[in-house]
Amino acid sequence: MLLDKEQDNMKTKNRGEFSLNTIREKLADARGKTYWRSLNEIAETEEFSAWLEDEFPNRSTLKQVDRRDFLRFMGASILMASLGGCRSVFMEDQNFVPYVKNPENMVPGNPLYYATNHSLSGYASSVLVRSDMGRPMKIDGNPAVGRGCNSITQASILDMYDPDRSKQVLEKGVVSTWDAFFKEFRKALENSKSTGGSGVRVVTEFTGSPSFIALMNKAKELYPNMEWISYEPVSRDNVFQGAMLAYGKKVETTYHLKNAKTVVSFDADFLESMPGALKMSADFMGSRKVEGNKADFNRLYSFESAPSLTGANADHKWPVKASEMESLIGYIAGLLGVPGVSGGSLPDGVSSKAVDAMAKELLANKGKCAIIPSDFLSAKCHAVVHGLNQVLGNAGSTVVYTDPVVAGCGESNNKMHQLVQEMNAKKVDVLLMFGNNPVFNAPADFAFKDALKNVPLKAYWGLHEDETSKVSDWHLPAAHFLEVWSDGRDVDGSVYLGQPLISAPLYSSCRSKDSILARLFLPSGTLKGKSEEPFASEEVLKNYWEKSSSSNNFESFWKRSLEKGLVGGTSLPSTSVNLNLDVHCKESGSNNDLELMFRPDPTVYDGRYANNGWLQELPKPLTKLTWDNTVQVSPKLAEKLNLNAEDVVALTLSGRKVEGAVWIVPGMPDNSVLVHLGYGRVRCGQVSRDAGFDAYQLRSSDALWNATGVKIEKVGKKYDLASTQMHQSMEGRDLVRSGTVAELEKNPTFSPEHVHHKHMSMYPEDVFPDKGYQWAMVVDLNQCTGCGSCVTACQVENNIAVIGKDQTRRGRHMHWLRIDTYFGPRDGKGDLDNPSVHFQPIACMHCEKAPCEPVCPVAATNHSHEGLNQMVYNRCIGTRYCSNNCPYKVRKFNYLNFNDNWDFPTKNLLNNPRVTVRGRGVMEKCSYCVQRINAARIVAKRENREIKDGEVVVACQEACSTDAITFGNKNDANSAVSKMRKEPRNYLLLEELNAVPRTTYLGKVRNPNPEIEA
Amino acid sequence: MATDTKFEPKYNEPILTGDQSHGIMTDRIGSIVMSQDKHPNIWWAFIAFGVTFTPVLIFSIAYLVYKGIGIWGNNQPVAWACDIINFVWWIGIGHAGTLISAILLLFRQQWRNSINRFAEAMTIFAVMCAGLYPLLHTGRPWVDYWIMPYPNILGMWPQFRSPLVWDVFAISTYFTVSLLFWYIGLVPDFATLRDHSKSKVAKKIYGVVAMGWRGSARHWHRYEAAYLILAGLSTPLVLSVHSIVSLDFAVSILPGWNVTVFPPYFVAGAVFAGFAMVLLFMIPIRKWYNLEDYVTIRHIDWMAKIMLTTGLIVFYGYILEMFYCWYSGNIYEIYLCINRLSGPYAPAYFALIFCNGIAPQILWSPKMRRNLPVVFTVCIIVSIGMWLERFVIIPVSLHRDFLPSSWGMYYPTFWDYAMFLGTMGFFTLMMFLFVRFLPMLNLFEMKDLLYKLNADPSKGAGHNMVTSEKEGGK
Repeated sequence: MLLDKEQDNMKTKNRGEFSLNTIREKLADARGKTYWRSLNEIAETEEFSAWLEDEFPNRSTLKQVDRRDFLRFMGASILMASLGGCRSVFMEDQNFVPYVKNPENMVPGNPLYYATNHSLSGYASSVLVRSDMGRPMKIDGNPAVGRGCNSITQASILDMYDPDRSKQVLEKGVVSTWDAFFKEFRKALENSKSTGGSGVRVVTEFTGSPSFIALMNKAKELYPNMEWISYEPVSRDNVFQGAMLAYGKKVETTYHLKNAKTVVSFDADFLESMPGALKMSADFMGSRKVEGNKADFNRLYSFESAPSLTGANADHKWPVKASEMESLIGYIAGLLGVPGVSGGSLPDGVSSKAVDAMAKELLANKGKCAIIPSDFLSAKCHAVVHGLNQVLGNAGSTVVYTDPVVAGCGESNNKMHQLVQEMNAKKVDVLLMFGNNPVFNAPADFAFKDALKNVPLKAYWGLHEDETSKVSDWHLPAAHFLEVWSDGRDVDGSVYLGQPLISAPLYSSCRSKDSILARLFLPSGTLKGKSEEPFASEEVLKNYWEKSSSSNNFESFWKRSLEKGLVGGTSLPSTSVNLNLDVHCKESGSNNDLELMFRPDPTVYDGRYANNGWLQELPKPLTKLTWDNTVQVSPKLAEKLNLNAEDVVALTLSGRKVEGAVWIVPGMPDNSVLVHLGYGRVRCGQVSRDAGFDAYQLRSSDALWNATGVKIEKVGKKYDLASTQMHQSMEGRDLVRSGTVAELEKNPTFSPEHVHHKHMSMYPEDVFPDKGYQWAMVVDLNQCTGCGSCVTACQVENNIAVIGKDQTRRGRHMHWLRIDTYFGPRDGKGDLDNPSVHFQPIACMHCEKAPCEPVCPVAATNHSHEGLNQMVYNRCIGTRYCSNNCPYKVRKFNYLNFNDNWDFPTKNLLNNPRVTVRGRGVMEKCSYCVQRINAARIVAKRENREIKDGEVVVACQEACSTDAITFGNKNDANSAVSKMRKEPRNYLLLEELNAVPRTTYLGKVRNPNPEIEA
Repeated sequence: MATDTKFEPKYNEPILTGDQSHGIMTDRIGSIVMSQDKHPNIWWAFIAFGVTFTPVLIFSIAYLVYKGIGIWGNNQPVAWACDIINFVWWIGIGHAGTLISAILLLFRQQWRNSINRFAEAMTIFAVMCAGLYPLLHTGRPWVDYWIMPYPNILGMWPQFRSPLVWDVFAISTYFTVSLLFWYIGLVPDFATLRDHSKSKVAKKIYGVVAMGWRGSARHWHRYEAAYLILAGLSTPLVLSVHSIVSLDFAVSILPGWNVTVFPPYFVAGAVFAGFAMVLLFMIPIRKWYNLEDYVTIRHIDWMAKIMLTTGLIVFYGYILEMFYCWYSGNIYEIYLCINRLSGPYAPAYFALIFCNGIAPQILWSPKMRRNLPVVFTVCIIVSIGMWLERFVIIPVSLHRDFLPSSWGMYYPTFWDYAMFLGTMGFFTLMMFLFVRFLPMLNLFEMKDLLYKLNADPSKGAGHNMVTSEKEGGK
């Protein structure tokens, strides 16, 4: 050992010598840029080359490392490795310290609520977001604006925490920086300045945001030849083109259904999916109130091509092929004498007697009725309906016209077409696409993807790296709407403000689109403050409102508006219109052509929510399908083509072919095929993978919604579909009680003749004290539209797991609250082709004599003295006996570890801290939102009072826009819930089992026109 | 059985045949254990089956505990399925053992002597297999002990109203008593083996388990007393275990489960299934091990008769179920029957009626009861039928209950089959190890029987008593 060392030292000595003279000589010889690291390098000593080549330079030989040194090195390595784990010691961003100065109003453990807005296809809705310790947790409707919140808006919070969200700027798929992006694009913009930006195109989603529109206008001032294209796959072009036909100008039509006695819907789903549906559903259902056996009721006639919730809730419904709508509307216009409309005839399946009766009623209710056309009808249909509403005197009362809210409305498709032509003509140099994923959803005949190849510089901004990102030069990570400042307009023009709910974006490189556009287009220094920051949109927004608000104290105006979430007095005034129609409606044609309808999906919409597990697993209201879209056909067509559910068929339309699985939907018009858009995503995230088929591939720009000449062929394969309700017949059981207004007077209980009343029991009747709180729920089936927003609310509030398609197929869906959809007879007659539809929300009934309780071997489910059937997760060993003994089957079992978010830590941030996250092997079920009851109890106790009626609002109740769910203390005779329980329509589901459920139902009332015979 | 002879003198076979003496018996029964080279090759085939599938059981248990119940096909509404079907099936299999050892002992049925040991062993192993299911089918098996009443700082007791708690007591008591009963019965035979073993190791082992049995009069006296007491204890257990298992269902409110006739109907079904399984093993084994002299055609005839009787009780239960579905006037009960007859699982119901209702009727014929292939086939059919019976009761009732919206379907998965096959493998392994290492017929009781038959040959003697000179056997 020693010998080795000495020898080594000798070598080093010999090698290490170099002379400064040699170096001088070498440097004198050097030409050009010669850099040197050390004198040794220039001297080209052997030592230097050894040092350069050695993997571990400056060491002694391995042999010289003795045990102590070895241990020292090892110790040091371990220390270094462990120090790597102490990130927070060295790095600033992970300081977990308690607040030294508490943020305003924040009490750890108590939630804070902020108003913000959510926009979908250009129309904003105002929402109130609950934030727990800086994490947005739950989205609900803003009570300052209206009740309720639909599923899509509620579930959009999940997108913010989506682990598949794009997190960094990509240049051609390689991680890059914002600086690089700005540098390249600013340069490109500078270059195009000479031509006024003639090669610059910006594609955005629809927007009504005043500040954004102002920003774009400003950009247009600087680049006058730049084009801004507002594009949405689910556009409302026909609506505005129809207004052009009828009135010669684009108008936004809003329907005020509060005073409407008669409503006619032409395929319009105004209860769920149309802009402003929340308010319309609240107004419409609010006009069908029943007290005792007295009903004050409106009436809804629905002519429907694609089955929707509106048709399901109608008093009269006729399936009408989409292509026949025009002749039908023309016929009705003829009946009512709309000037300037000719043609039209009655399609098959709609009796003239019925339409006559309807026309009579409409005329009797002049000014108190509303005709609502679907967004997907042709412009001509819209024009005729405008005529109808004018003739019926509805304009100005139930139907209000305002200036359009959305920028560039009515020409989305044309502008997109123009863009594609320009791209193909290589006229586009710089393309900025903000959201919308046009490569996936642009009409197939545009061949948008191919056209993109002709654009030298293109960037796409999106929440996910999707189909469009893949073919763009740059991908820019989008900030979620909960992370940014924004404003937006509702369909009536009201401006809702939005504010970020999380102090930094979840992923620090995500930016809002206005901050990007402001920085790209505006000269630097335009914005005051931190305009170079990623979240400059606050400046954009404030700048705009500071200029446009008339308030002399801007700061207080700003604070007040932000707090309420809306800018007061911004709803648009009605605009005057002059009807000038000259329309010829076609006659009803042959009924045998097969036609294809495209509609946005009820849950994943146009595909943008495809990676949202909550929406994927939310059963579609009528089919109860999850995780897939389907080729929907009527029972008659299925019979004719010999199709069964889950058969794979090929749909061929003008040479394009798509394969999808069949689902048979009662109530569809014959010879019609319905497909929903938004599925079949190829690049989005792991949730959307392998879900459904891409119907956009069939859709062409000339037939966006309805196409004729589709061919349907069996492929001979089966495709598994996951439905949460396999059986949609009530089997003659007394489940949903319903009756007509006329029946209400005779038999307000709607109880069937052979009702199974409560059985005698040898046990005491009343086991619960009549003092204190006894919680109870009443579900008014008359008010329930079946939309499912309560299901999503429950899922968000109670940390309910998403389990995936395979597990859903196995029947293990975890929703605590489900909506049962049953098909029944129409007008007293069994009808497979046009059945009535009944919805029944079912959650744990909190039975007073709960069958689940005595069978649990470990007392994991038991009763509180306030009447709650409680589930003690920690005690549950998972025998599942309680579920077997539950007649309502509302108990859900964690068959696997469904809440395992090991790989998705961001998802854990979204868990409601007030509700236990259940592990595998335990049973769970509705708790009547016991966390909300207890939160109210704490407040009440502190104020030394009882909990007031209406103080406890359970999650499902909160989300319901139509007030179908009432919750409260049944011991309080004045509470809403005890009044409801005294209604004659109140009944107990499966009363004969003597379980005495605490949730009761109020029978459903329908108001068919007695003049229309079935 | 005396009346039996009046009607069927033609078929009055003896219960013991061949050349017999104490020595011959010790040799013929004991040698199966003592000379290990006597085993037919078929033994290895069954051991191979057992050795193949026991690890399947172990692995499927490990995966189940690791992953969760979700690996099975259970779902909502069918929260219990193969787990409970197999549990009830295995518990039923065990029933013949207790019935033979306890009830037939109390009724002084001497023919039980040659089959009780075998049937008892079957009970023990079947209950082992059965017990696995309720223990492992819970969502969190590691906290199963919460179901036991034990002192704890939470002051939590199990919920005594739940039949699952009764189950725990019923099955653990049943297993304990059956094990004791079996072991005590083995003690004198262990002593015989100890005395006759030539290998030192065997001598040692049998010596330890014989617990110092010397065959003194006092030993015999105490043995008889203990055995009788245990028989007395077991007798109610025969009835209680399956009654309580049936209460798991009968206590609930589910149509198809909430049936008052379940306790006796389940007990009859269990005896039915148990005898089928005893015959299924006994018929080949008596041939392979030359035990036809001890387990005679008469035994098989009697067992077949018990099967026929209990089978008729079970069939009566099926008819009764249909009757009160209609008689109740309850739409859910009526639908249950309609669903059994015409629902998606109707083939299972009709197969059940064939297996348990129709196929055993062939046993009315004395000739068929003596036809071993026929009896063997009937036993297979009955074993399948009893599994189907539990299938019809459990998933078929669960899958369509009160609200049509929650109706679903049940399909077993790979792991459902794996665990069931695994338990079969384990059971077969244990049975064949038993055959090889423990006396499968009760030696001393056979000797006792020999003595009694010598005294009163009318009881069914058909053997040829060999004098001591001839002793030494074959």
